[in-house]
Amino acid sequence: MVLFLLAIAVLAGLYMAWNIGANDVANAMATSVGSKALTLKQALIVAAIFEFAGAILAGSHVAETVRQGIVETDAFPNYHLLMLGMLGSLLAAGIWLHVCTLFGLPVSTTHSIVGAVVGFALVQLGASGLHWGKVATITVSWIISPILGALIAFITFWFILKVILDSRHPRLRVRVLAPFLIGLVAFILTLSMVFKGLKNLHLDLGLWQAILVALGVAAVCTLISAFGLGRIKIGVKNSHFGYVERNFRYLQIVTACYVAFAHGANDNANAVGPMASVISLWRTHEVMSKVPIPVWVLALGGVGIVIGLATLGYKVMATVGEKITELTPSRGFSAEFGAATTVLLASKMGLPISTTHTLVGAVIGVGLARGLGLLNLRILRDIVVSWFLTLPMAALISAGIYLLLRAVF
Amino acid sequence: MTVNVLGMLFGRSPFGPLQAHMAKVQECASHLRPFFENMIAGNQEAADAERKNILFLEHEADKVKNGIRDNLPRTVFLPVDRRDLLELLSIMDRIADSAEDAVIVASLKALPCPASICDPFLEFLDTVEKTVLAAGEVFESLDQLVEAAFSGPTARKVHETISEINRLEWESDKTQYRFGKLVLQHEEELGPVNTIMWMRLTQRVADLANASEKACDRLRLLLLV
Repeated sequence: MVLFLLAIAVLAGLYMAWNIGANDVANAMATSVGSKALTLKQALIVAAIFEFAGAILAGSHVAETVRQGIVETDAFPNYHLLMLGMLGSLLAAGIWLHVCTLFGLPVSTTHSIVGAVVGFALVQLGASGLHWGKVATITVSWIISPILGALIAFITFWFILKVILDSRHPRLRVRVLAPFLIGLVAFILTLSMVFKGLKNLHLDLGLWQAILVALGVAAVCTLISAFGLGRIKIGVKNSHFGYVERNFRYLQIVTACYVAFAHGANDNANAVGPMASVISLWRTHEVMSKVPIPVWVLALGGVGIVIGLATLGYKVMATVGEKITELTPSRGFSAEFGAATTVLLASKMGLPISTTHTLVGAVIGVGLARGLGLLNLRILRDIVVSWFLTLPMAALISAGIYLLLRAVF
Repeated sequence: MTVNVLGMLFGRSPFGPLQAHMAKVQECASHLRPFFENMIAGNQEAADAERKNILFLEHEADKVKNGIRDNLPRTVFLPVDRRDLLELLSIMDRIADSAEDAVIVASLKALPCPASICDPFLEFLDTVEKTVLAAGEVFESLDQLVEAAFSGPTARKVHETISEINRLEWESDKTQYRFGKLVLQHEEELGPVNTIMWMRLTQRVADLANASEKACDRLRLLLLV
């Protein structure tokens, strides 16, 4: 019986991961495909490697939050009920996502799963069974993350505009600055992996050690890219900013990896969080909240995401990529940098946020700096509507499924 | 499964179509000279063909214009003010409208074309064409302006070119004044109706230069210099 439930939970978790790989990753990677920084095939490879790496190397904090940060897991009378609840929340999130898609509402996978976890906990434990502080922090982070993404993207593009595009010698400026921008991304990525990273991979350095290691990696990356980018030929009869944009095309490959990594780190938790609960309950037969999630469970989610990418994700990626071909690499770089930095920051803080909504914020940030030809802001209204609907609706569905499961098993 | 948010966020930039519209307007105006040359030479059939070309191209420009307008609902976000952009578009369209009006006035009735009027007229047309062409060139750098977010050296360069167009339009104003006086000197030879038609035609042709300058002035409002 328990084994049967475990199997369903793993399947539901894998389905969720598959869904993330098939749909959400497309949004994360589309900006690179749209600006032609990456071909579809390259985007697929980058996404597969870095989603997986992000899921394992930086994804544990968020997964822990979804598993036990929201619910007072100790308060559950027995492990069986918690298992049913987590299973139910996976199913509820899946159903809510399906319903919203039918109505064309841009709902977030992350928001759905958090709502669902809140739902079954309310039924079983009442209001006291929830860590309301954490729930409030998470909800606030949903509003702050797109704004922060917009702010970082705005500043990034403003910097590129003022220092490179608006200078008298854009080509010279980009040649000098591009390697440092790559170094900056390398620094943040390395820092996110080694600072308070995974204990069992010995990736949990203290702040100063971590900064030192990250600076070293950044320096190496800066040097390598200075040599690599130096090989780009300065065309004579190219469009005005041709050379600059060609440089940013390479920079955008780096931010594409960055986005995929950050996305894997944050969104893997949607599948792995509830699944990890069920697995650890099955292994220990008791409600233990302080055991870290084993790497292989994180990897299981990563595998699900990669399978989703390979089976359906590349098609969705191609569709989204085609719609945003007017994005040039300098704009794409700014948007991706803003979004990925925000998402990674949230991941390190254990906050499950919506990667897609953050990316939307970042794109609008570039638009606010006059970087984009045209944006349809009507989608913002739909996103805000989805914010207000998702938490109560996913909670309601999850509560219903939980009551059903409790009656049957 | 989830909704394609980024695809919905990104729209088609209006600046490419805006350039396409200017290209159509330029093509339309470029048929004025062959039209008038044929009219003056008395090649009625060739002149008719050119007139039809102009009417057709004006209609084509209208279609591009409406396409741009349809694509700019109130919920869009642009690097420039939406109203400024729509105003700019409507002034650009006035260049093609004026070309259409000019050939219509010129072909309502057979206008007598004595050499003493026709040669100065073609000279006047020259100065107008120069202004129109210069405006066309300004709009060719619109894509670069978008890339530079309407600021920096690119914007300053466009700003300078527009000052040059102001001078060209002033030149065409002076030629228009001289040509108008010339037509009125031939009042008795032409007869009252033909005199009025020539004066109307002069005004329509001058409108091309006026609209070209106005379009550039509107564009200047979008620059951040």
